[in-house]
Amino acid sequence: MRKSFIIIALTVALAACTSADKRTSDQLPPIFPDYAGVTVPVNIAPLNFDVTEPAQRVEATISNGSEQIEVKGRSGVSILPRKWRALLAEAEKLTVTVAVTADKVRTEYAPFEIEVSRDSIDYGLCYRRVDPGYEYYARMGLYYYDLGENEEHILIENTLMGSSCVNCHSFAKTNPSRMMFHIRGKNGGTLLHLDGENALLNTKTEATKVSCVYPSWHPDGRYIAYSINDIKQTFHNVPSQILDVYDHWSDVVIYDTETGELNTYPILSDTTRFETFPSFSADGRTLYFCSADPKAAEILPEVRYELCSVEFDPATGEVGDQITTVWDGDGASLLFPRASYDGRYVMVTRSAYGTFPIWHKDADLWLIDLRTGERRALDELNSDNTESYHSWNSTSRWVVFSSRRIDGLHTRPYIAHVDDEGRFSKPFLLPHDRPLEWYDGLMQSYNIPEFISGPIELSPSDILQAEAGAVELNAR
Amino acid sequence: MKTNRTKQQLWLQVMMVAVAMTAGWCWFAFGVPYTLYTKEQLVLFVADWAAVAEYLGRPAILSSIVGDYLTQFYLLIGGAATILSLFMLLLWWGTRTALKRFGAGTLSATAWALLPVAAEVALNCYVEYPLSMTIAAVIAVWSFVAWTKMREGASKYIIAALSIVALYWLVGAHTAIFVLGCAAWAWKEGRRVWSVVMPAVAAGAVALWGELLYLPLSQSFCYPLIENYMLQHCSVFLITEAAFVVALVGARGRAWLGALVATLMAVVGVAMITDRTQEYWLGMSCEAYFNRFDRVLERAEANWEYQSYVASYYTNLALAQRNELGEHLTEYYQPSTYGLMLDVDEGAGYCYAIAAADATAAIGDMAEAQRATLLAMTFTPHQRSSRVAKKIVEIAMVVGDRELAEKFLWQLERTAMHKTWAAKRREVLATGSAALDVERAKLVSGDGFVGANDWYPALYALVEANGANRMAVEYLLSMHLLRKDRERFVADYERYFYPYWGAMPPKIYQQALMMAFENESELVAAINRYHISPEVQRECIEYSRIYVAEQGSGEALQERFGRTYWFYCNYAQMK
Repeated sequence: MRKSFIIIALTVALAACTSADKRTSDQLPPIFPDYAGVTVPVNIAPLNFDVTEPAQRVEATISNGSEQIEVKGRSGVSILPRKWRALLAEAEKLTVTVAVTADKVRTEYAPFEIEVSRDSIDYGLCYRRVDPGYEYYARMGLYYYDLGENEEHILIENTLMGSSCVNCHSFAKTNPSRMMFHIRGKNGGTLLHLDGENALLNTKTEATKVSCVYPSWHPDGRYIAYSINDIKQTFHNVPSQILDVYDHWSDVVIYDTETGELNTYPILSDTTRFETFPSFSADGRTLYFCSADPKAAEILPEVRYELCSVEFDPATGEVGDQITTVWDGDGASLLFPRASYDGRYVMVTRSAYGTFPIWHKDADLWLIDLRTGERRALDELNSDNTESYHSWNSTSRWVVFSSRRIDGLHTRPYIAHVDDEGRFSKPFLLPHDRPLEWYDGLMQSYNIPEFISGPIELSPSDILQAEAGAVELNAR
Repeated sequence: MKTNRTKQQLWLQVMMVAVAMTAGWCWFAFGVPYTLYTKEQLVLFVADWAAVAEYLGRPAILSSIVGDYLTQFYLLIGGAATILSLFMLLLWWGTRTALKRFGAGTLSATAWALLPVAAEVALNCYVEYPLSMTIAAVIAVWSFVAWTKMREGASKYIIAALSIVALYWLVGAHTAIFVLGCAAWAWKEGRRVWSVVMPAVAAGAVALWGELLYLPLSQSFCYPLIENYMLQHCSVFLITEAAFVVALVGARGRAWLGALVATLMAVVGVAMITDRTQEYWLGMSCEAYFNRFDRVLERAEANWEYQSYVASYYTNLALAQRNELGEHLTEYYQPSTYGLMLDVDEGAGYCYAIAAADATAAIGDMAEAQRATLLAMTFTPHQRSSRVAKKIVEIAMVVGDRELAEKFLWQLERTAMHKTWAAKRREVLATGSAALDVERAKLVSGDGFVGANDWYPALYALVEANGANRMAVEYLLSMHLLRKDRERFVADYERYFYPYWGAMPPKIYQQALMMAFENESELVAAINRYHISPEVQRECIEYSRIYVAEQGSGEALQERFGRTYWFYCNYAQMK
């Protein structure tokens, strides 16, 4: 009798569990991040996702045409890396079908596709995580993220260094063995990591007056071009813009890692112009930078930076005597030029005015085709919110850029593929194991995402050792 | 006879502990309630994997998770007092058991065990001293008690050494209690080497975990306290360790001496650590947060001795909420304009930055409010604050930043005490509300640039955007008055106040208007135009008469006119 009762009870319970109504929807599933229609590299880590609506159960079937995997979860799915890699290895595209059970109703949504590109992506990203205000900071750090494993590693956190600011990390063509970043404040300097050797440089010289700021490595890894900026802040009186930054003056200088000299050039220290945001071309023979008229700086909304270039001779470290305006911005301000490593493009951020597009919702990415001179807004990548910093991977087939599209306050890194024709795929958010909890819980912004081709062999203790004494630079 | 004595001792012990715990409860509930409410505001415990995972990257994971979770309930009336008292009871009980293991008599152990409790009671009067530290002390003491019960032998001490490493990861700095206990025990058992080895292992554990978790030695020593950022001298937590050691030594002595030392320690510690001025203005800040502005004014009227910028700031905000700034402005302590708006800069600190957003948000200056809240979040000890999160949601809803509001609502919905608030706001976000429309009507439309804490341009932008924004108009006029700029006051009164509310001018404005016109015919015209009451006219004449008669002596005017604008204008000086 008792046994029969248990069997009946279990049957009823089982029936209750499986008696969810089944529905189909022609809509895409409510998942975060949005992976529908994106293109991902063949070596990317699992694209785990969460559903954005209350759910008791989430089921996903991911198929590459010949094989498929099924994953289940309560509010999202976590895909086993081993299965994911096997699925991706042979895939040209993936078809993802998602079913969500909520309130005893199982809704199967319209399937979506993910293109799988054979263009591998670099090992990872290096970025800074910092509070979104940019005015002051508390805890911040430089981190690098393994794109194949969804794992974040700490490069340095400022808690180790008396709460100093760390910023402007930069790599020679994504090479983690040739990198630098600045440490601000007491005992600060520019930490240079060259093939296992570390040095802390005091880049503030009598000639330059201030320390080096925005960097760009020469592709052969010998030179680093820097802007030197006398930076000021001002505030908006409408919300959501909060802060603007402008230069009182700015020049471009070039540091030679072989001679240890900081080279200044009259043509790049023109008192009648601002020069900032240097970026070397792929062949290392051209230096791009942004330039503006200081007279306009008295009224910030009238400051427009244009994209200029000057020849550079890697053998001598000298620059040419002619500055060329590549694009005047057509009434807007051009910032953060980044030349692709294949020599085809320069990507810039274009905003209505100024030099600090972080809070400018109108800031968008634009692409200049160096072969045809054609310029276009990257509508495939841009959103209604701010798009700002961006960089290329070592093969120039992938770009990562900062966007505030999720909540308008916190900057997040998005990755997109570019094909032979210069077409960009729909970007995808940097994958994470528990994406909704991670991104909704994270109060910091991702700042300056840069690709790296391998793990960074630099430990916090290496950095602290280097911090013990800064090397004074000579300006030439 | 013996039974009677035992009963008497038991009764004495119960009384001693009951009195101590009741005193502790009362002190937390009535002595420093706002310090404890503020602690709740500095925590945002989001019950999800990612938030909990953040604790894994730092020492003291167990005590921090439990502590931050329970700190949420400080928001309940008596919640903090009850939670803290319970942990104090556990700490006392653990210490008493430990002392008895060392051979102390029951009564003596009962009394001397109150010493670490007294230390923790005092330390909890710091805003920055988290509940997790007290929990850590409890865990450390009980771990020690459990360890003492192991069979004596070398393995016991090896286990202690390993436990130190694990315990530091679980509870952080207060592992020192366990270390000291073990060292003392080893000494007692004649294992002198181990009593030296234990502190050495502890030093190694601190260094090891610091290296693994990317903390410098000075930070890992105090964690979860952060030197300079939270407390000026984090090593104050060692008071509890010192009290524990004194208890170990003293418990061999008289019980009454233990009770006396504990009482003295509690009284002196509490007196030294409690900042009454801070408690006073934190009270105003909390009452404003709870939207009880009547209580803000009650506090302002009752406690003139605790004057500060923030106290004046909340008094003014409470007056402004009732449209009574112009009626009572100089009746309260006014440190020039520093009590109208709070400047936020690098040295502001989180309490100040949190407060700064309240007035700016109330008058509709959402740009400045947003800036202050972002800085407040940055300045809080762990860059998380439930109060700031709620303020960000409110601001985002007003300015129409839906995604940002949703992000923080998502977090608040996963807290124990703010989920109902969040659910209500989500409803308003979906349907809108009349109150939201009122706030939106205050917003500035055109963009412009202002310096940080540059209040005049911001206020002018607000009153130009919406002339009916009375609070902004009153702040602007009050700013003129407190700067003694009568010329600008009259001009802006005429332009912004008079058209809307000029028929019933508030008293302080009337006093200022009477002072603004020196020419008699202009004054007569002003009296008629601005509806200056006969009473204010009479008082003005009387004030002038005494002023002249006493040759400008403020003392003669103080009693009768000390709260008038005339007196403020003639005698108020920034010290």
